Amino acid sequence: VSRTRRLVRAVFFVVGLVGLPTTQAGAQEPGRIVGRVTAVESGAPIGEVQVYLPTTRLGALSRQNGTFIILQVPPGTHEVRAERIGLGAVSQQVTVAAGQAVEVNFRMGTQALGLDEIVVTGTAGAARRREVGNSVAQLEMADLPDRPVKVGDMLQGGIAGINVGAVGGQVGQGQRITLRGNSSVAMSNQPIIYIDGVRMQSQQYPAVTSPDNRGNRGPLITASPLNSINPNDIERIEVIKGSAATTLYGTEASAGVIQIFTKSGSVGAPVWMVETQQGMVKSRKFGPPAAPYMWLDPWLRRGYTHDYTASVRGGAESLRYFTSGSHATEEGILPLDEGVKWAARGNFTFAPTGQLQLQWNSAYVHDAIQTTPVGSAAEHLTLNAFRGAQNYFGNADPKVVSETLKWDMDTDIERFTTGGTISYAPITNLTNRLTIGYDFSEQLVNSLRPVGHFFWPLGALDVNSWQDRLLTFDGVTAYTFDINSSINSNFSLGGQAVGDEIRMVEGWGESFPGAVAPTLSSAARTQAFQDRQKVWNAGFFVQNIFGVRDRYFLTAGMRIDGNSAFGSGFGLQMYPKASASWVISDESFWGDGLGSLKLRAAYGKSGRAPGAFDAVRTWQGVGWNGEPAFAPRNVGNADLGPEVSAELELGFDGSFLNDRLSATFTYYNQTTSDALFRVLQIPSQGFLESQLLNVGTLKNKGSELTLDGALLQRESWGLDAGVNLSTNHSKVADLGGAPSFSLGSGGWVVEGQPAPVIRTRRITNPEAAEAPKIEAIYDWGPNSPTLIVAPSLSVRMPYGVLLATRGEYRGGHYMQVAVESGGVTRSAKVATCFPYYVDPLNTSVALKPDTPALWRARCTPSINSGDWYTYPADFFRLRSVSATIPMDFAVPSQVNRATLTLSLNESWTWYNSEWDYMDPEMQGNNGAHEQVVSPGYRVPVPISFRATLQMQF
Amino acid sequence: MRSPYRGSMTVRTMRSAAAILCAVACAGCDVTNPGPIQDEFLNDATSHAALVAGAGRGLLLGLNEIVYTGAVVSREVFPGGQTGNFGFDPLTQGGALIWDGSSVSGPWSKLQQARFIAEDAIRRFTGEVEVVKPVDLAQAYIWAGYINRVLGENMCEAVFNGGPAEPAARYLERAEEHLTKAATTATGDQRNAALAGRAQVRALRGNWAGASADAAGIPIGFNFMLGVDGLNFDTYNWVYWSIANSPYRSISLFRTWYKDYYTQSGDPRTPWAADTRFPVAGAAVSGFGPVPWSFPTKYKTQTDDWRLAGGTEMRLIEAEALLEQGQWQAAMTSMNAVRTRNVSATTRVALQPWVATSLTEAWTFLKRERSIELWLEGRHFGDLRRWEDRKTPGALDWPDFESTTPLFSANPRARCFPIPRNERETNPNIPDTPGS
Repeated sequence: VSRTRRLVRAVFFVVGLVGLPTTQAGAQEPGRIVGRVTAVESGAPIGEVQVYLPTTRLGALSRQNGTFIILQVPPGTHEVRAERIGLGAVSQQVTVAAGQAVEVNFRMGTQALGLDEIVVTGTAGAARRREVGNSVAQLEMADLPDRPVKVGDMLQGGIAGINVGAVGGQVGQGQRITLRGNSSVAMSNQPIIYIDGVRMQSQQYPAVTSPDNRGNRGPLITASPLNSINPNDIERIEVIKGSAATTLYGTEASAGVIQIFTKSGSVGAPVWMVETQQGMVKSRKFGPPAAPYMWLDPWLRRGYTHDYTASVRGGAESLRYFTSGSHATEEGILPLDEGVKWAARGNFTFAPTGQLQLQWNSAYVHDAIQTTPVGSAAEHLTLNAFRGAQNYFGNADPKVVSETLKWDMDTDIERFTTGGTISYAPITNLTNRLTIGYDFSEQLVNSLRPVGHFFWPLGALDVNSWQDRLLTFDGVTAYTFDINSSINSNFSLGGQAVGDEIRMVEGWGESFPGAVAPTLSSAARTQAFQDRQKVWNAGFFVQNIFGVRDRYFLTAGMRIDGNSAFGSGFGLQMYPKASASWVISDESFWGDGLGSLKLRAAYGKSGRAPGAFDAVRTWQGVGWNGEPAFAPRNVGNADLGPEVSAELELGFDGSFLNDRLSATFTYYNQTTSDALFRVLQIPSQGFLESQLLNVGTLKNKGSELTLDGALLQRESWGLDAGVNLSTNHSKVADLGGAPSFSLGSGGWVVEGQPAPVIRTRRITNPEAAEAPKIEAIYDWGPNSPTLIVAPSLSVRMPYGVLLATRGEYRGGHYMQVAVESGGVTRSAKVATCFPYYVDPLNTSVALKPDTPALWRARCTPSINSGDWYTYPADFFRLRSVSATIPMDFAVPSQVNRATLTLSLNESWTWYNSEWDYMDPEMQGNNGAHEQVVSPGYRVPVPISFRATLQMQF
Repeated sequence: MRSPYRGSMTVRTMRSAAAILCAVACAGCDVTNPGPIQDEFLNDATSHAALVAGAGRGLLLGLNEIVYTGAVVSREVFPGGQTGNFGFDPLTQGGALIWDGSSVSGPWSKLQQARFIAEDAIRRFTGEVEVVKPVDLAQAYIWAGYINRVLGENMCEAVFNGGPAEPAARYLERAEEHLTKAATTATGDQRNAALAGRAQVRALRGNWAGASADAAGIPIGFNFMLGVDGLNFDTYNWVYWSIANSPYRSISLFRTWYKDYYTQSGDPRTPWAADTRFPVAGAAVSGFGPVPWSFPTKYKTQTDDWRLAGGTEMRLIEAEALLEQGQWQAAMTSMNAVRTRNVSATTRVALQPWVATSLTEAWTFLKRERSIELWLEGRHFGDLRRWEDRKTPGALDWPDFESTTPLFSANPRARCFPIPRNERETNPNIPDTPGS
């Protein structure tokens, strides 16, 4: 760590030097260019437009009112260019006289379809959107009016087909992300993530629990590396969701790819941005009427958040830079939840010649998180509070239960990502690109129950260091040439190697001398644990795009992969792809008034590798009474290979009504063959761990629709509405002879059913006032939503005020919410049963005679089971309501742009009428790593209010 | 038209890129990770002792569950109402062990794994390996013997290596075979352990002459202990840990015969205590509520070892063999030799011998003395089944739990651990559900 810190310091020392504003000396008095950028459609002003002189290092960003000023312009004739993603670039010639100002106004039109925009994710090198036969979703930071503070929040509902599920409301908690449902029931369904071409840690950090037996005791947060990225550093995010698009990423990409592009330097004088964000969070109600906060009221609080960010970007053609730094503090709704985050970034672009460009991006973040003990663990706050007098203290008094807070749970996360890309184009139609990147993550957990702890009078300390090192080599050569006057070819050849090494070292100590600050070294009894595993994946790919008259495009490609986790007898895996696109609106028969339309179709394969040790028959070294000992670990499977997903994608991208309506539609049909199942082994054969086998077949199909409409376009008023809609239906088509198996929390893998399906016993007479009648097996439905609808609406008002709101509905899925079951089986009086107890105030759990059968089952200890708590999990949540207010009038003229954004987030939720308690956006102890979504002993995502003031100068 | 220069440049660039990536790929995919050991390396001589130790550790993992679960079902303790960790589902609290319940798969799986390790070690040592230390081979036989004894004593049926269900007696046959081989190669305490184990097995199989013969060679002060490892939470003494208030208070001595017996006798073999700070156990029992908490103090730390066999049990085996022959007076002498070795914790004098006036009464005392001597050692559950099978005379000191809650009357005591769901669902030779 110290070496990393030294490196980081060096990087930012250099950044600081480069970032210093420079002055220019000129023989003549310079002039200046002033002007305004407005929309073609409405005449409304446009902010965030990069206006620059391509031949110099001069430029500026337009303010919210559309105005800009470029200073220090040498006298003479210049080309002035205006660019912003999503808008058609425009340029004008101007002549600047010495000491004079010249006015240049730009009118920019929306490019709803953006057929000539460049996308890079999923293509070898880069391609114009018109050439790509698969869907590529793009999210622009500038398009998000509510200033999200986490990247996960940016993605939530922002793209059709993405499912970003919160794990709970603790500080530091990450989200669970899936694209197009579950393509695996054994491996992670988390997409892999690239940042500026460098593979970064994609999985959430592990939930650390102390090794005290059967404990689940520890912070239980699964922070997401995505949330380490400062949203203000992000230019845009590209998402490709299925194998038809992810083929060129090979063995680890069947769950999709998210690529983040951070801001790079811009030509012109330094542009500084400073931002402060002040916020407040409070808990939503998540219990039944008898206990709206599940008895947690004495501990819940309002928490306050404070964020500060500064960045500078600028440079000349040959050297451009973007640097940023941020500091954030956060209080959660639970009494010990706090976070302090420091982050810094430096992005540099060197272009010594027109043919050669070097891009070097680096970022460092340190996130210190303090956590309240929550989760299903006997010594944690939530479990003891939820169970009342039947808790582990035998006492519901908040003063007694507060003993659980005498616990220091500190999580320190450090991340450092650096990567360099060399792009060399010796001739116009030949480009070579090589990226080398390194991504380092460390999570260090110190979990101390100090001397005097209720259950550990002599104290206990768990220290867990988890590190992930990712090394990326990625190279591609692309050569474009014309076969004849109407057909051109874009041939690409490349390779990629990614090494992933995870190291875990954990120390446990117990019984400390009370007078010293405990370390593991001062413990009377200690234990140590270690795990190390490295996996390399390497592959080559080749691709050719044939273009005919710039409107028909045919792409064919192949990737061949090797992976160190494959079985010794497996060999290499091949992933083919083919796609076609047709810009039908470029045809002569297409009427001018019909808008733009591209039809597309794609087919491709990609995979998901097994774990590092899954292929080999192994034993585990274990100690016993000071002597070495062995225990069986893994049966092994020499033929183990990746599960391979094949996907067919059909769809269109269109813009209509003079670009006032844009629509993107995609239908996909995925089949994962050789699906990896963790097949249970026969206990009497000695190996108790399940073994991965390539035996199954999973299917996923669905549709995605994105609609954006400009309903009203006036100079002062505008009304935009949009919706992202996606469906997903999965099915386990074949279990390969394996029996149905449980994934826990009611989730099962059953042939012919969704993956996973919620399967439990069921009460067949739920409403009858009689003894429960029980059906032994009942398949309720999928655990993943089958329908996600994310509508958004924005109103542009006079003076540039923008009101915006967005929400998200998820439905068609089921969850088991068995939190109350843990109390009932212990004869605790639980809040959901209060309407049915004869006397809610005494200790008896006797029920009223007219108690319906379902509630008899739920509230009677001897027949209680988690099975009786299965619910349809449909909900709609208002994700944000925001107002963006230009504040230029209130700041000095040196400030280019000032905006105040007020946002109320996660403020209102509609639940299915059967839903009794907790929240669908919660998870069990293993957080984002849980395969089955099932609300656990946590608190839900809080309601938050934020005020953000951003200034640019 | 393409320039030849440009074309060759392209080819050279592509070749270079391909060569670099090929080198990376070839070097990168050959990865050796530390940690797990590949199966073939266990034949190495340096691994033999660790493999044998693995069998002993496996027995410890399984015995932890057998002792703990068996104690609740055989009413050596009263359930504290805890479910989940260190707890039991309500049916098990009442006394039932059902094939798809949560209390049976753990003991089954862990003991099956222990058996596999021990018998796999024997297979390697007698087949694949040229040289093995006699002490390692003997110990492998001893662990295999004891593991099969525990399985035969507690399981309803036997299954070996994914095969079909067989009578539980097959475990005992294997146990006797292994222990006989151990006895032929072992010396000293290792041989005593083998013989004591075989005496237990022969008693379970009804071979009282053989059991007496083996028991006779074991001194009364001999104990064969299974080491409990205090450095690993999985291998703690579970009976202690379940009442250590860290944070579990999962079992109680409320309503048990042993609690009253200790109060009256001060017999140091059945001690208990209470903690005024915690008047009730960690949860509540269905239909009854919070359970008054008193707890056994036979095990005082999480590192207290389990006794697998001992000289006192051998005397009781001799006594039971005599009862089988109707020689109840001699049997009383033998069992009182065990009893009077103990000094009352309350009176500080040796315990008074039991005095019987009939064969039936002698059986009652034998059952009582055996349940006291082997209290919380994982034996009472098997003894109940054995005595029921053989329809032995004499009464049991069976406590009245039924009057506390219908949970106990609704769930008649199980006699053995059935083949659990996880074996049924994976083993093609076993029906998925009992009786199907």
